[in-house]
Amino acid sequence: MDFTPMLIAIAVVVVLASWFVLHAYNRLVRMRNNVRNAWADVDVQLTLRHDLVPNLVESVKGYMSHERQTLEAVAQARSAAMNAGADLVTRAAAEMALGSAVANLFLTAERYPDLKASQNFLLLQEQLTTTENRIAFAHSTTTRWCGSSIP
Amino acid sequence: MSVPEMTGAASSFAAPSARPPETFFKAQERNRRATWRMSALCVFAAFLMGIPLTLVLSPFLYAVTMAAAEVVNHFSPLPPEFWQISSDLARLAVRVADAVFNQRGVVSPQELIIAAVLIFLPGIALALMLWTGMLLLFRHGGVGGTLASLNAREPNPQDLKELQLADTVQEMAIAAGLPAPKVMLIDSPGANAAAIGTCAADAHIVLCRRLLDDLNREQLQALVGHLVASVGNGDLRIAFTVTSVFETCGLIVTLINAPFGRQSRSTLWRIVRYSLRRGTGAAQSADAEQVAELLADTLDMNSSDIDRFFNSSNPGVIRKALRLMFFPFLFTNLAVELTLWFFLNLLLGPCMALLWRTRRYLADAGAVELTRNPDALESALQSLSDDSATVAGGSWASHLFVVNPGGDRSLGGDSASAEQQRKFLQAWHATANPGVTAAAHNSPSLPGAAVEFARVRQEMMSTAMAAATGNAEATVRLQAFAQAMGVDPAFVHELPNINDLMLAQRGDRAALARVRMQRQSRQRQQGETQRGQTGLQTVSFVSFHPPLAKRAKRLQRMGAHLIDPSRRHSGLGGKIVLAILYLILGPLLLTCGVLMLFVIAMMIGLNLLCLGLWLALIHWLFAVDWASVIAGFTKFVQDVAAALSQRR
Repeated sequence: MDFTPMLIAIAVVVVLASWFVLHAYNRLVRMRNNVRNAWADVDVQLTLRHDLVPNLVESVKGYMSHERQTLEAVAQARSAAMNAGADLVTRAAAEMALGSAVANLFLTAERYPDLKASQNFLLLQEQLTTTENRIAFAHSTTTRWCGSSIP
Repeated sequence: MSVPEMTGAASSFAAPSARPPETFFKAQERNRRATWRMSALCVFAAFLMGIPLTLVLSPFLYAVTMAAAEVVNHFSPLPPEFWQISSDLARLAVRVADAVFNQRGVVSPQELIIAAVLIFLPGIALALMLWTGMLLLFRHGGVGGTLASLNAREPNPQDLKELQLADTVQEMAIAAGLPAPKVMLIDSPGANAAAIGTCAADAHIVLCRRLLDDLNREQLQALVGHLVASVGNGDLRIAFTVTSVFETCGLIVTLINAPFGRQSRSTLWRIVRYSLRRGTGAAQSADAEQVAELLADTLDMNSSDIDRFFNSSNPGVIRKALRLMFFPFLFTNLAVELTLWFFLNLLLGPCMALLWRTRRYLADAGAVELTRNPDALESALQSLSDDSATVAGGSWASHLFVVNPGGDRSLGGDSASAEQQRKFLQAWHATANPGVTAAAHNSPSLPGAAVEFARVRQEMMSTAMAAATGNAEATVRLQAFAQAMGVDPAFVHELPNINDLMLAQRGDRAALARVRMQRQSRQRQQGETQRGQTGLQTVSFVSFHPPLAKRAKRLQRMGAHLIDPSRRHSGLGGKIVLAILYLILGPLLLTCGVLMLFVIAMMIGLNLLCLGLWLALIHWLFAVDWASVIAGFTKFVQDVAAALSQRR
């Protein structure tokens, strides 16, 4: 009996199967790297926000000397976020609290036209806005890729 | 900056809203399926176009080869098998043609297949080779040339708005999970944006500076989202392929024209030089840009080199001789151009335009997915439709821009948005009668305002010119108007600079020249906007850009809200008239189309005939033994001379 056609068929099947397996493995590795990068993005943006907040408070102090409560709330929220530790849930909560404190500060700043004319303040506001947006978008990207980023 | 703007996407996650009739996922799915359909349609259209094209090109190639063979044979004889095979094939072709057209004789299926391959293969092979060559050549061209012709510059990090733009691009790139494209700005009076590049890795986003002033941060984000989504969807590759098909057609025409005209030869020389140069420098990409423009120009069907060659009056003797020698080329060129014009404009062009439109809708849906804010994109598109969208230097790439550079009036805009118009009118009327306050003028209804605005702008231009030539009253009025408007950057390009007017009035020649130039460029821009067609758009009567009204409608299906409902045309009466017109004109257009096809078939036949005659002529030229003919003739002359001298 001539075995060659059968051998050829088996060889083709083996080649195809191995190609599929390698392809799937590569895709999984690529997806895992994507998720890691997305996480790194979020981390970088959060750290950047921590660094920007003191500059913001400094630039605003001169104009908004009567709004001590708002400024203190921001400073406290920042220190809480920096010391949140590795637990994702508390960290997420602390970061959200910082976000809302900064939003409150910007809302209050709307009432001070001199502040809004200050180029320094506008630049800082822009930087913080873009950081917030980047966090939000990185959050949405990680959610898209692994279901939910915060369990 | 308000809170919702700042937290942007995050807040839209939290707020539950009524489910829109169609989610952007569905819209994207629908558009991706439509893309497959349109691509299949494009391939089919290209195939249809290829048939007459091969029927013209194959005989041409055969004739040229045989003529060359005859010439070579005269100097060093070719092996007899060559002549045997060629005469066999010719006899076969004649037999098959007889059987097919005259129903005479019988041919076996193999012979039929061989004949078909003989007829279609050379043309197809040539077209495919040229197309692959174009793809390979321009893949590494880069965008430097386009950027240079658009005068694009990097954003300035000191400027707040340009910093916002750079940040927005980064945000959208993070949202899309893509590497951020590079951003460039154009300082042109138009308001448009485009994503250019040959592939996603080389993507550049180009925006007009004026957009940064006209749009707020949300709208800018939506627009950038649209561009990033189109880059991520692979639109750059598709645009590259579409342009390369058109350029291949241009290359075919250039090749046929090459022996006859300087322009074609110089284009070919540029292509050769570009392909030989290595490295990616500015000169390389500038070359690529020029070649692309030249090839796109050849499709414009302006008088080509061959027509000039054959139709010029008072030709010299050499030119007459050349004309006689190469007469069939004229018919070949005519047949090719006719075929290309007919099929590109009526078949392939519209198919590609429809394909491109589907990608635009897909990018719109992608923008909604990225920003979760369909309102922002809709208002951005509306504000874009209000401004004039022409961008200097970007004519051949007009299909790449977000909004039709020729202008899009489907949303009922004029060259300044409604609020700007109102401000303008109020300020102008205030300066006319100093006693009347602005409050006494109610804002007129929109159609009236458009006419009024045009009239007032005319008045303004004439006042400006009067002020420039010394009218004191006009100067005073202009000064008051400038004060009332404040420093409004949107009007910088509408009117001449007030300072220039003052200086011109005092006799400054340079200022007067600047004012005149500004008016001329404004008129030229208006002319361009009215023509509305540049570059690739000329080969398709279907616009490459979907009308903004349709895009707004799709965005509303995805959840955007109606902006300014008074702007919508009901248009029902217009639609009925259009339908009746199509019913009447439809059969007429169809007959015209069929007639065109007949003309093309006739041209193909004529081409075949002329090439056959030409070949026969050349064969006779080389088959006749000229030496013996000349010897015989000389002998004849000698005999006559001898007879004459003997008689005497």
